[in-house]
Formats: sequence, C-alpha cells, structure tokens
Amino acid sequence: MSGKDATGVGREAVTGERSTFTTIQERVAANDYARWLLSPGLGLLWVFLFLFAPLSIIVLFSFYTSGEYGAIVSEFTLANYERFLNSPTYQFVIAKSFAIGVLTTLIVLPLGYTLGYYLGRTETRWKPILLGLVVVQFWVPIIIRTYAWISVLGRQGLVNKLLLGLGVVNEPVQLLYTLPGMMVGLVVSLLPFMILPVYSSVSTIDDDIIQAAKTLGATDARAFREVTLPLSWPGIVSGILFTFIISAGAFIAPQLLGGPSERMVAPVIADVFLKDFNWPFAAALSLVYFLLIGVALYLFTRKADLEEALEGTSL
Amino acid sequence: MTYLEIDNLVKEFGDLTAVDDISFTVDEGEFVTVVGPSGCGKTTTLRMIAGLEEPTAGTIRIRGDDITALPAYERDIGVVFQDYALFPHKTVFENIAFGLKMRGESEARQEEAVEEMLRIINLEGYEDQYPHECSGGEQQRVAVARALAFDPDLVLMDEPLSNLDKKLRQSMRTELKRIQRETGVTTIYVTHNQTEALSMGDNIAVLNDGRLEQFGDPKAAYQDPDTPFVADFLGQSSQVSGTFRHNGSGPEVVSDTGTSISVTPKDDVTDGDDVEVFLRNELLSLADGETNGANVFEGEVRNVDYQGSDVNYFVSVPSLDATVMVSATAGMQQTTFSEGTPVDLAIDPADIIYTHP
Repeated sequence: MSGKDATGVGREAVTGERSTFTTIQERVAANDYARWLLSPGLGLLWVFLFLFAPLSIIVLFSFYTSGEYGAIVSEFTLANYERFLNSPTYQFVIAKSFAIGVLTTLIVLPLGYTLGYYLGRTETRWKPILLGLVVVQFWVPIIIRTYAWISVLGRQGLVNKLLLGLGVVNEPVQLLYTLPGMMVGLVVSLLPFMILPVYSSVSTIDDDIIQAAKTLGATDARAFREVTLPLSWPGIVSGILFTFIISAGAFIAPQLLGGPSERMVAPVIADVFLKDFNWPFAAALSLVYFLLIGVALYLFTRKADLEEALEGTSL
Repeated sequence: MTYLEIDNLVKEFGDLTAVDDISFTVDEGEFVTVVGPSGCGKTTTLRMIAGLEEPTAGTIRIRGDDITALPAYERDIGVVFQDYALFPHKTVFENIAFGLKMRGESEARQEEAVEEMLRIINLEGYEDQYPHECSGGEQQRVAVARALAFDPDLVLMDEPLSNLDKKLRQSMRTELKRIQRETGVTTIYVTHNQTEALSMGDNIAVLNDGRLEQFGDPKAAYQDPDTPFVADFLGQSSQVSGTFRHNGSGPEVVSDTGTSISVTPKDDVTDGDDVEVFLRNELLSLADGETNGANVFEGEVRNVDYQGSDVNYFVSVPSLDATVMVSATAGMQQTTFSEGTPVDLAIDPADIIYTHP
C-alpha cells in the first residue's frame, strides 16, 4: 500500500473517526503513550540504564580498593590490574577461555552449517518436525540439558556402556570432567545458534539462482562456493558471533562437565565475586575479558565484511 | 540442417504426465517460440532441454550428439529465467562473465566478452552496478547477456518478459529479436502470450496439456490451425460446430442450427465430416445496410466494448445460436453501432477457419 495514501487517511482520521486508522504506524503515532515509549530519548535512556550504567559500575569498581571482609573502599587504585598482570594463572584462564570459545566455534560452524543448509534446502515433509527439534532445545533450561550429559558421558554412562559392550575398551573411559567432555556439552548446546541463522539465510536463496549457476557451467560444488556460500554469509557471521560470545563466556558446561583444568573465566570471576568477596578484582577481570572479546569481535566483523556480504542480498 | 532434435520427450511427475511425447526439430540460428496455457508443460520441456529436469523418456540431440544424460553444467546452453535469477551478490560484470569464468577463460577474454555483450544490450558502463541497482528492464537485459556471453550452443528463455510492464514488454520484444539476430544464436522462447509467440517466432510450437498441438510457421498456425485448440488459443474467435459438405455452388459447413456457411475447400476434410468453425473477431465485418458476399448473418448488437483503438461488439446471431464477438478499428469518422442495433455480419469464405474437432 502506498505510504502517501496512508498518511492522508491518517490525518483525516485524527480529526474524524478513530476507527479508520489503517496502519499500525498511524495507530502508534496517534497514541501519546506509545510515542513516548518509542521516542529516541527514551531509547537512549534504556541503553543507559540497562547497558551503560551497569558497565560503568564495573569500570568504577575495578579502580576501587578492596577492603577487609569484602568491603569496597572508594579509593582509586591500579592494584587490581597490577594483580592481573602479575598473575599467570588468571592470564592463563582468560587465554584458555578465549581459545575454548574459538575451538567451540570452529567445531559448531561446519556442523551447524551442514544442518542449517539441509533444513534450508530440503523439501521433506519432516522439515517442520526437524526445525521443531532444533527449537525445542531452547525450551529446556541449559542446566538440565547439561546435566543430562553427565549420565551419557559418566563412567556408567551410555557411551561407556556401548564401548564396553562392543569390546572397544576394557574399562570405562574418563569422558566426564575432561576437555572433550566439556566440548561435547558446549557444542551441542550451541548448535541451534548456528543452525537457525544459517537456516534462515539459506532458505531465502532462490532455487533458480543456483540452477542458473549450473546452466552457466558450474558443477554442484562450484555453484555452492560461488552462490550458496556467499549468499548465506550473513547467517554464518551471526552464527559465529552467537556461538563465540556464548561459548567464550560459558558458565554451566565448564562447571558441570569440565574438570579442574578446564576452568573457564566466567566461573572463576563468579568465585572471585562470591567466594573471595573481592568485587574490585572481579570487576577488573570482567573488564579485561570484556575488552578482549570486544576487540576480537570488532576485528572479526571488519574482516567479515558484513556490509559487503549484505550488498545486494536485499534484492 | 537440423540443429536441435527433440525426440518423443516425456516427463512424468508421479501420476501426472507434464510432457507427453513431444517431438520437434530446430535449425541453427532459428528462433522458436513455445506457447500454451499455464500448466501445458512448456516450462518443463525447457527445463529438460536445459538439463535441470530429467526426462522420463525420449532424447535430446544437439548437432546429432545425444545430450539427454548430460548434467546442466556440461551442456553449453544459456538459460534466461523468468525472474532473471541474477546473482544478487555479484556485479553486472561478474554476472555476465560467470559462464566464461566457469569455463576457465582468462580475465582478458572475460573483459572482452562482457564489453561486447554490454554493447549489444546497450548497457555500457554498468559493469560495477549490482543487480538491485538496475531497473527491471536492465536486469532483464543483463540476464540475456549472461546467457549469451559464453557463446552457448542454444539459448532458452522462460517467459522473460512476463515481469515487465506492457510498454517495456513491447520494446524488449524488438530488442530481444535484434539481439538474437545480431548474435545468430539458436533460441527457444517459452511464453504464454500468443502475440509474443506469433510475432517473435520463426517457428511456433503450440502446447496443450503436455502435448504438441502444432509446430511450424506462425502464420500457418494462425491461419490454418491443425486443431480446434490451436484455432481457439491463437487469436480470438467465436466457435460454431457443424458438418462439412458440398452443395451446388461449392463447399460449405452446415451448422448444427441448420445455417449454411460457405468455406474454401481443405485437403483433409471430406463431405460428411464433423468440423469446428472459427470466426475470427477481426475478420468479421458489420454493416447496417446492404451487404453482398457469400456469408451474411443477421444479428443484433448486444454489447459494445470501447477500447480506444478498437471497438468490440458482441452480436447475437440467432441463425448460429451464438453470440459472436466482432473487433473493429474505431476510426474517428466511422459510425459506431449502439446496443440494440440490428446488423448484418459478413465474413469472406476464405477467412473462415475450420478443423476436425
């Protein structure tokens, strides 16, 4: 429908009958409360309240001195950052968490892409059910899903029973509380975050475009590389962002499935907050990791040429 | 010389026969239009020639080589899709060069070919534009250039003009014919538009319900259709059923209502045959006074449909038990008949189309 017509009708409507509003925009525009809610100033306020303010508090705390029994003394100090710079343990935890985030993403990417691609291109009548199976994961709390893996990976778990039954091994293999065990939990819980964005970008690719590539001489593999892959790039990029951000900050999988050597930064920071009551140092650790992730994502999105990738896809 | 040979092509989708035993041949450099109502199997036929659909039976040959089993990417056949199917993430240059790139041509060769194509389609300077920055007509021409740039054996076009508005469609029709003449590429052009099919094709294939009703010269198809479907589908006419016979003065068809319609003889119709008679709207003339000629039917104007350049009259003719539509050119001086006017309908026996039912 034409925008001009709609505005014309809307203006008449303000002076006349209320029921003749035609678009939701007009209804919203005519509603003072909705206008106030959606005003740019209020938007800024939201950002300030929910994003900037908590972050500022973290920044502020990280320069405070920690007193006895968890007291926060408002005295400026760089001691928290010095402690981090002089502590190989904390540096190692942060580096390791970052690396686990990268590793998880590298495993999730091909698996999630394959599944998302299949769901996006298939015409099977099972498609809604398959999609439902992906989405249903979100209904089950992550902590319960992770607990379920304990009974699968444990010494008496399904995997070990199978391996023993088949005679592959003679005694149970230690899977739980190891890096591979934790990776299984991370990968499985993050797969939907790759599958869904890839699915949504792949399913919008017009079949004719892929067939056009074939009539022009592209083999299936070449058509995929030249057409399908670039056109699903936005989905891949958002999948990578989701997977990396969530896995680099993972809390539950390292707690439940990882061993002592798989300690990741999120539980470590939580311990500093809640067990040591050292809020200033915990704030400093959070901030260092926040900046590390932020810089990495900035470099990645620049490299990923998101704008370039999106060029033309809005045909 | 036969260039493309379609032999007894069949395509079944489950219980549905989309293409039912179609055969025809195309000479090198020829422009063949394939026309029929939607669902007649024309697009399926095209997709089988392109290699995008596997035939249930039959063979496709180019220069005598059987290509039926070749995958699409091993056939040198350019396809222009109905929605153009341009690569949205590639520039006009990259789109047009794609076929050459897939064939491993050098960049210099690609540039040369794209430049040549852009000249032919009159889009010089569009190399770096993206498809969404081009208008519908421009996208259309880029799609044609992409299908032609790698010098294919054959170009297939699937209703390429159906997304354009009427004026643009008209000019693109001439444009496509010009491009085809300039490149000399053998072309098969699928459309559901009769005018397009008749005006563009060196030969026309009329499809109905998966079967080939007629193949050949467009003029012959229009003037001497093989089947009632072709007569009815190409052009607008009113249909009357009757029986062919000879009387003292020559051949005639006696309509089921008992009215005699003089016709010219046809080789394949003999006395006593049941036939379908088609009175083309534009070949009928109206008069309110004296008319002489072999076929004059009395009628009354029931409805007038003024269309600017033309006027369509719906005339009820009791002797044929039919309402006959007559198209006349609406000149400034000419009188137009108003509703309720008694008129005489005249048509030359040579202008009457009749076929076996």
